[in-house]
Amino acid sequence: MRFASWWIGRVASAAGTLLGVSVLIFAAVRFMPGGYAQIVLGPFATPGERAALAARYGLEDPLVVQYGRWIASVGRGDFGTSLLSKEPVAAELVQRLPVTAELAVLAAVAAVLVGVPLGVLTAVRSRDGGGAAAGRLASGLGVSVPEFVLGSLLVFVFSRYALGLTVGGYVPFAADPGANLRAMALPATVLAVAATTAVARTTRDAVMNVLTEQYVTAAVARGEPPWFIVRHHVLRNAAVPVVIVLTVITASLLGGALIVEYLFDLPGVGSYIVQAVGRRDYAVVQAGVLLAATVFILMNVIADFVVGVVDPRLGAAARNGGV
Amino acid sequence: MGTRTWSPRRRTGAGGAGRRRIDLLSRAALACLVALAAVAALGQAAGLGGDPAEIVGGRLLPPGPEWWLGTDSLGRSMVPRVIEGVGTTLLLSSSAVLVTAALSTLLGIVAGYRGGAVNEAVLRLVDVLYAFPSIVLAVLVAAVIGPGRTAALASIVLVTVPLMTRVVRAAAASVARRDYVTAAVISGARTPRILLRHILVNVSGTVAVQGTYALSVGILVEGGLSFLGLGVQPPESSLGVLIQQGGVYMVAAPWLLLGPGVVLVAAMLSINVFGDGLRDRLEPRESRSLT
Amino acid sequence: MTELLNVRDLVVEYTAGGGRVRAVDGADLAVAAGATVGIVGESGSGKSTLGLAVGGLLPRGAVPAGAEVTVDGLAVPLLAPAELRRLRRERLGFVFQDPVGSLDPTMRIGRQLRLVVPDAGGPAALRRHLERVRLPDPERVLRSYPHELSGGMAQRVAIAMAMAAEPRLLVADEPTAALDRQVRDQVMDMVFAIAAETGTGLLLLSHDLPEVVRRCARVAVMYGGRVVEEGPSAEVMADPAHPYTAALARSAPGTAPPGARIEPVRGRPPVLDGAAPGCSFAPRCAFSVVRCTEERPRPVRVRGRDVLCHRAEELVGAAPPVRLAPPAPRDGAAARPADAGTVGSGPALELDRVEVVFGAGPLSRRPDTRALRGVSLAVAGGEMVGLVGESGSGKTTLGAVALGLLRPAAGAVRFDGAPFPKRRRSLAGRMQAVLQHPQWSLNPRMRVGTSIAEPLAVLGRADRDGRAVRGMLDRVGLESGLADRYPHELSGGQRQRVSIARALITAPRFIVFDEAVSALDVSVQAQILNLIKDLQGELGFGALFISHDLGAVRYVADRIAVMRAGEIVETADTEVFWTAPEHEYSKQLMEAM
Repeated sequence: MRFASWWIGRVASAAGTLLGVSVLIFAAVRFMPGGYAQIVLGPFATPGERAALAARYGLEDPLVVQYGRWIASVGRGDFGTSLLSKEPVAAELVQRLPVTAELAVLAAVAAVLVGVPLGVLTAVRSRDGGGAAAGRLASGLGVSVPEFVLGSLLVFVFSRYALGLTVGGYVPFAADPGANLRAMALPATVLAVAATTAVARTTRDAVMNVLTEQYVTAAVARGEPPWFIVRHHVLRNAAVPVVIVLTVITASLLGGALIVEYLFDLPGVGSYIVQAVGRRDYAVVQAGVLLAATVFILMNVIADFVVGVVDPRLGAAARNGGV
Repeated sequence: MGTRTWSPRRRTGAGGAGRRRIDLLSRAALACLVALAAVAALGQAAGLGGDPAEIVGGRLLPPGPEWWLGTDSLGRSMVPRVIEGVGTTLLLSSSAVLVTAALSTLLGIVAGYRGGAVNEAVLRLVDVLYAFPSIVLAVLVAAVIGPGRTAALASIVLVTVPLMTRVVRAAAASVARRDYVTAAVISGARTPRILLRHILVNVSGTVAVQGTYALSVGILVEGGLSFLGLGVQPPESSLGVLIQQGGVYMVAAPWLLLGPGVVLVAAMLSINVFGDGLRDRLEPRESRSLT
Repeated sequence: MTELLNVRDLVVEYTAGGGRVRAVDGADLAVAAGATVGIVGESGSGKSTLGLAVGGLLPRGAVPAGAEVTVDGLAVPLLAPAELRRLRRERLGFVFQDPVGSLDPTMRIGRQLRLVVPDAGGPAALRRHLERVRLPDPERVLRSYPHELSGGMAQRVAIAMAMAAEPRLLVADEPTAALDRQVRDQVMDMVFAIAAETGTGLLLLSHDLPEVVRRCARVAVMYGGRVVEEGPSAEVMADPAHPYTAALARSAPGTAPPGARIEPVRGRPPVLDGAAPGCSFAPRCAFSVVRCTEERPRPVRVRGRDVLCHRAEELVGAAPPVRLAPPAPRDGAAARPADAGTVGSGPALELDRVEVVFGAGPLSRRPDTRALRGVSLAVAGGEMVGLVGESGSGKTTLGAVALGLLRPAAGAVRFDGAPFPKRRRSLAGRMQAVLQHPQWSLNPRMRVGTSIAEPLAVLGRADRDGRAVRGMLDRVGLESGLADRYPHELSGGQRQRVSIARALITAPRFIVFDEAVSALDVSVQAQILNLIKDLQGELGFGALFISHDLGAVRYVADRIAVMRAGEIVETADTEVFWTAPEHEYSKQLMEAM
């Protein structure tokens, strides 16, 4: 199948990118100003202690070897040990992952459920006039309020007036769904706002582009009703940019999770990374960043797949030697 | 065959494409942004509101006739602190975006025009950076070179270069296919001349639009990083730092948060609205009704 | 009255690009049931807008509520949305210019067809719709996506979809403009056959006067938003009453009498702001008088037709009749233009068994495309060779090889006797080109004068006082003040002249014209072709004129080379070719004219 060979090409390309990402992360940590040993041990370490550390971590070996060792251990699931807790990083990550995942999923679902219909509606109804300006301001606002501002605001409001939602106090879903949702509602909302706006804007752009295409004119000329045209012609054709923006959203969700978890005191991967940076716990930072990038690349691969299924021309473009 | 057929949807006309103006809303946004920058620059120079480091009164006092934005936990007036914060944020982000613009434009037009291996290499490189969520990349940078202004600047550059390079590259590639570039090649023009006089000139609009968006991303990244304590470090202040400090005392003194928060949102809103207007003017789109 | 379509004094006005545009300025049209009517007009004539108005497809507010547009007895502007949709579904069919673009790219044809006629019945019924438009292998087409079809096939599908609901009137807006000549004829033949079979009225919108006249029973000529002349096709063509119609008829390359110059319509298409008083054609009309610029013409009955011209009655018989019959052969003496200028000692450009292959990429399972298969061609200095072929024939690739933009996989290219140098720069302005798109042929951010002078600047011979540029502008018939303007301030025809000026400024020995007039309006094409012909006579450069338009090639070229599927199938002197083409394919091309 032509589509299969194209998609496999994309997967290979993604793997290459992942490789590049891992090299970058490895290099970033290894080439830190001051040297790894000094940072770990502090500026007052004796040369003997530094040499011992270097020997223990193999810091004198050729870089390629060090990199290989690191990759091999990552492949085994061994992300090193946290400097602080002395516990394996991997175990901690596994424990914290569900929190971040739940947060991201809640926000993403909200973004799609609210953003897509909003985008379609504003595109179909858009002509000119004052409504356009108000719409632009509203959508501009949505992307202009950073998570840390909105989050802080919500923390303030809901610390004063609880309204049934809690700030902090995370409880796993399995243990107590109600309490869990009450604790997740605010942070998820903060993430969802920016995501929904982005989805709505991209959907609106995509739909408006489709509306100017000749096959839509032809459909109107055939007397098809507006909702019919939207359902059969517009959605499928506008899907591609929307799917793409959904993957970009993941990136912002992952980033936003850092801030939101920090603010709302949630025990997720994001807050783990932030704390680790402050305390120079590099194994954790490495692992966390690698995880985030991997998730994003994975989402892109999935997006490529969905897009290839939705739009038959993309498989064809690949047939002709690539776009 | 666009010259022949003519439908009311397209904007052709016997007079050809004219210059259209950026719409009113976007111009208002630009004015707002310029005003902010002016207040920050001139305000700091003129010492508007006083000295940001000076303790003027009691702690955590609400806004009043003497200090319009209240005082912070040390008793410093918020007005000069916010002005300083805006200045730092804008200065940092704009410098970073200038660096990004220079780099991305260079990479983009060379890759877009040459195509082939150069194109592939640039895309691959950029893809690696693009795979990091922005704050995550910023945090990594801060972890590596240590928190501070430099980290903030470097983060912004690394975060904004990938997207801008991609967009500029795509624009350059499409310009490179146009007949006037071919004509220049036929006339024997060398690559630098073509890149400068034909390609760069015709992607400058795209660069401007992307630069505007990059600026808003930059402010976001700087703010987020400083908020996490990894960017601009006290006693220097930026909007992110102020918001973080405000967050700590939020319950008792909400104005500490609201002052810088509103200013930050206003700045970003202006940039985004202006960016949209700029894009609409440079890449117009017709609209169509479904009836 | 069995009028299928009746339009009376229609005015269409709306805002575009920051100003009011009056696309249609009082147009009248009537189509009887089952009749075939063609509307001929160039860009800005308003014909497409009129077509859209028939279906109520214009933006809200563009058509005044009181306007009279009646389809099958129903007043279109007054219909409620649901009724309007029903009218479109049941009585009207539309076909647009871009074949593949009219079809939903993410849906298979079969499904799209079924959406149009949901109660069609089984797949057999769908197949019948496709068979009606003479599509071979309907099964495969039903399963295909639009991008997998050729332009001709896609257009047949679009026509099938438009005809599926058995409309009473089919409106076709330049349905074949994007197709190759041969396919064009086949598709048109099919459309008219179907219309005749089903008794459907046909409204054909086109810029191609000879084509419309050949096929439609009646023709309406539009200019500046008004119908300036309307009547039975044969009569209008043989005996045009309106000066514009006459000028149009004489300016099409295919209709010019042999040896005569084609007469362009001077001037540019009108600006459509509805502001100018008087007749919109007056600025370009050879017969205009003061009254024409002050007073709007009203319909005058001349020769049994309604004509919008103040002087129609006076001018009866003033314009010489135009004949559409195949022109008689030129005699040998007049065939070649004066051999003025330098004729080089050897061929200026020579291609020797050139082969070009486009690889499909290492992962693709398709075979490589052999764009040129052992092509040989020689062009002498001072000679213009016309290269004709359909799209995909390889003529553009040959042009690229001739210019040194593409290196052949095999074979040799020689310029002025010497093999092509490695660096294009070494040709030092001895070879130039004029390319197709007036839209993109000039750098929009560079002043016209700078663009023209660029070839000199590249060679280090800067035109400091601007004399060379001014001289060139003069040579190509433009006023020297244009040097300071930007391309968007110029019309398509003017931009092409600028391209020609740019190509000539280094006094090249050889010029490649690649579809140099194809994207221009018919009336402007004539002007440019005349210019090219004159300049070549004066300056004596060798040239390769690449085009799909046999008529244009015939007009300017001394010799014709016909290309098909990567090979040159025939070369001959123009007139010899015209009277007696040898190759089978050449004969097909001639017949399609």
